[in-house]
Amino acid sequence: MSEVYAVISGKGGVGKTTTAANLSIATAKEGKKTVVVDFDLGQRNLDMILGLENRVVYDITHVMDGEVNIKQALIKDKNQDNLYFLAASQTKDKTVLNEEKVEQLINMLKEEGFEFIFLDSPAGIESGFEHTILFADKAIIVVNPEVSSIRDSDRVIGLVDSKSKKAKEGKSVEKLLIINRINPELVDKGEMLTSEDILEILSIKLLGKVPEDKKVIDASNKGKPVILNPDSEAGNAYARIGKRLCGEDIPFADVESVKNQGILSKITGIFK
Amino acid sequence: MLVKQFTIRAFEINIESQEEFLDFFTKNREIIQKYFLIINGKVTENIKKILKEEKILFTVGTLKNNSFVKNCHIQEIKAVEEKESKIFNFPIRSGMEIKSNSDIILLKRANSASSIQTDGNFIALDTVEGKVECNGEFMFLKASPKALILFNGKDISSYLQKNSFFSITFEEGNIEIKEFKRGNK
Ligand SMILES: Nc1ncnc2c1ncn2[C@@H]1O[C@H](COP(=O)(O)OP(=O)(O)OP(=O)(O)O)[C@@H](O)[C@H]1O
Ligand SMILES: [Mg+2]
Repeated sequence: MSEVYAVISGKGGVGKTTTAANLSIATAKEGKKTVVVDFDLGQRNLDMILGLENRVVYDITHVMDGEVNIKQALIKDKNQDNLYFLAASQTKDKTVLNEEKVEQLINMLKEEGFEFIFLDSPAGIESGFEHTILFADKAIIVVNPEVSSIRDSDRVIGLVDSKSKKAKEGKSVEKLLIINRINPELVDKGEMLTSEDILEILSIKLLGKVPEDKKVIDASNKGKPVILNPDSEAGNAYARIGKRLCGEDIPFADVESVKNQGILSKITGIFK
Repeated sequence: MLVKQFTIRAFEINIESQEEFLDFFTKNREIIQKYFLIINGKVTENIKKILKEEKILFTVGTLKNNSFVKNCHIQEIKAVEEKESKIFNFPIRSGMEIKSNSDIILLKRANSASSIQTDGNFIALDTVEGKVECNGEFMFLKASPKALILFNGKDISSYLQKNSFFSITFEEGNIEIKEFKRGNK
């Protein structure tokens, strides 16, 4: 059974592409045949984060225009069994997408037997966004713990409820929340929205919490997603989310409390 | 000289036939009684007599294109026909807009940057964080400090700055705001 996950957000730059890349590796590692598709046309960067940029010969528009078949355009990740990637076009922009072409493409991917199909979406304010939610079975909403991100995602959740094909057929698209870039020190100081606050406002199901982690940026630069780094807190969070997507019951780890700061700071703590 | 300012709630009614008007009048008497009528078309002796008996103030003419319309509250006749209340069992999210003539009942939150406008009453069982414009006679809600709550044209947000439910009523031009406490009678 194929499931189509649209990875979306209201505001840009909250971590959709990072999430799509890491989750696709996570489900592939769990043994599921997975494809991740860059739907952010004209602004492709999933290829870089996955370290596959020099392997892109054909992209999504070649397939949609019938110039090549889907098998030719799918790029198999050599370092990861079960993982495939379909690139966005860098030259053509979002106006080349239309409903019919997008539906055909998604059907082709389903026929290829992918169990997980992740669509990396442009931000909710941009054109082209509606195409990723149109044929999604589930939406993964990525937010940062700050008010503007929350409000914009709230609007986008409303769009999922009204614009997706499933919604129009009277069914509902499951909405799953990832809170990304949680900074324990700011939470501790009360300067950041807590997960409870965010869940209360958005009223959707929590899929996972990912801490702020400098290793993420470094990983993107190297084209080696952070999930492959066992020392990364964010990477481990993505691995847990992947397991949850595969049906495992993984409890939510505490990524919000400030970690043990070592003996020195403990001692100074006493004299505060 | 004494100057008084009133906000009048009025119906503008187009009378095409006496029969039709009287039928409408009998059906909606209770609501019409609370309004000032601006009547377009022929006011027959019969209509005049009935309006007088019911002590309903009216004038003949139209407010359309009149500059003072902006300042007074005109309720459309639709309000009378569409009375059933609307119940929302999902959160009203940012960017959503609801406009209605009937009572509105929210079972879930109304989030920041949502907008709800009604000429009926308004009841919300979860926090309201967006904008609510209610021109009915009754409101019941808990507003977040970020919310904008307008009741019959008046901004009452600052009176609701408390994490509890309030019941708010509009009677004869007066707004009464009461904090709702469990066990309140
Ligand atoms: N958990 C994290 N910790 C630290 N940095 C992060 C984290 N998640 C994402 N970032 C950084 O935030 C930036 C934006 O991430 P990303 O490109 O994934 O966002 P996006 O939502 O896809 O953006 P766009 O809307 O432009 O497509 C990147 O530089 C990324 O490395
Ligand atoms: Mg992106």
